[in-house]
Amino acid sequence: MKKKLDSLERERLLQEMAAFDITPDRRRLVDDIRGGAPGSWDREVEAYRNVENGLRRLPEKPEHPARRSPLRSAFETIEARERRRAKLRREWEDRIIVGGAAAMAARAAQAVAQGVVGLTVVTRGAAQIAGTLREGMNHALLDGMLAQFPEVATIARARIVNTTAISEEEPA
Amino acid sequence: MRRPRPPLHSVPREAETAPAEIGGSDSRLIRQAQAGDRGALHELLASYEAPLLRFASRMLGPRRRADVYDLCQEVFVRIIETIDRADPSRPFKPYFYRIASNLIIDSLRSEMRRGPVVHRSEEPAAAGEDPGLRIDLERAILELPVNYRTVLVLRYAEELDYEEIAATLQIPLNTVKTYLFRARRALKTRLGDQS
Repeated sequence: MKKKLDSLERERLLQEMAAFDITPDRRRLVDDIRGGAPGSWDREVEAYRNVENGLRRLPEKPEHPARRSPLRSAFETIEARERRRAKLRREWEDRIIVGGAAAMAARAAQAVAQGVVGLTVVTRGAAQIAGTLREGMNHALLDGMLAQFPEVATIARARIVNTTAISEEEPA
Repeated sequence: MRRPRPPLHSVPREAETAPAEIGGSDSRLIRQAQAGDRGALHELLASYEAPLLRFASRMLGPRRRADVYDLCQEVFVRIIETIDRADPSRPFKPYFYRIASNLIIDSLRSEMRRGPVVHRSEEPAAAGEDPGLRIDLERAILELPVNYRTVLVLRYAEELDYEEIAATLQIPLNTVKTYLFRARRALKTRLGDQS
């Protein structure tokens, strides 16, 4: 006599079916237990197999012959980025920016984010440079630098206490 | 005694597009790339270019086919910039697909946040193939939840094994099996509903 399956039992049986390695005797038993007609398990298996085979027939890749290789484009992007960093490094190295203007802070933060090392710390005024490291500085920016670029902050710290010549101009 | 599992690979795969087998070759190239050898890095990644295009294409669907190249470029940029983090003693394939999956899934979720997505297939069918079946299947896959779609494509289209999928998505092996099972069941239901 066939019985109605609860959801857990049905789930388990379906998993077995998906594995495709059940013996013929067991298969008949499964048909019987799950209340399906004889051979219905085979049809279930076939349906799964169709899905799997269909998956393998999906389009291989987008056809855009005119498009360039994304790998080559990626290398070019990286090289362009490295050139920009080198340029920034040449422009900004050994400078200390004085003043707390938001634009300058943003510029400095951008330079830091781009990986230019040893370059900028934003302060609120020249007088405060002689103070402790955190005094007079843009704390949010400093904290960000300390968290992400400790070596930059260390270099900057050394330069703050040693620098006497201070430029207030942004590099051209 | 178990019966041998019947072959499921009805469609031969293009050997030239398959990534290099995990082992000495990938490991050697990763070490060279980490030492600054751009040629080695290019050689390592070149074998993943076609599979990545295919993976992204299947995940994004025909509606976003124009985005596939840009997204693949982004994946490569990310991998090139973080190659120092790759462990040469471990298989590179899951590392590669992890970065690719994360970026693609982020892109899909960002798209879904912008509103409902309606998919339609534009791919012509191959000779001797039932176009209706494939279009339905492709559409059904694209309508699956992202996590189901990802495991399904990684398993059946990219042919990663369960362990590689678990390592790629950083989820337990049993979760991979569960997702795969539910994804197949959902597909079967959707295809049944469509017919």
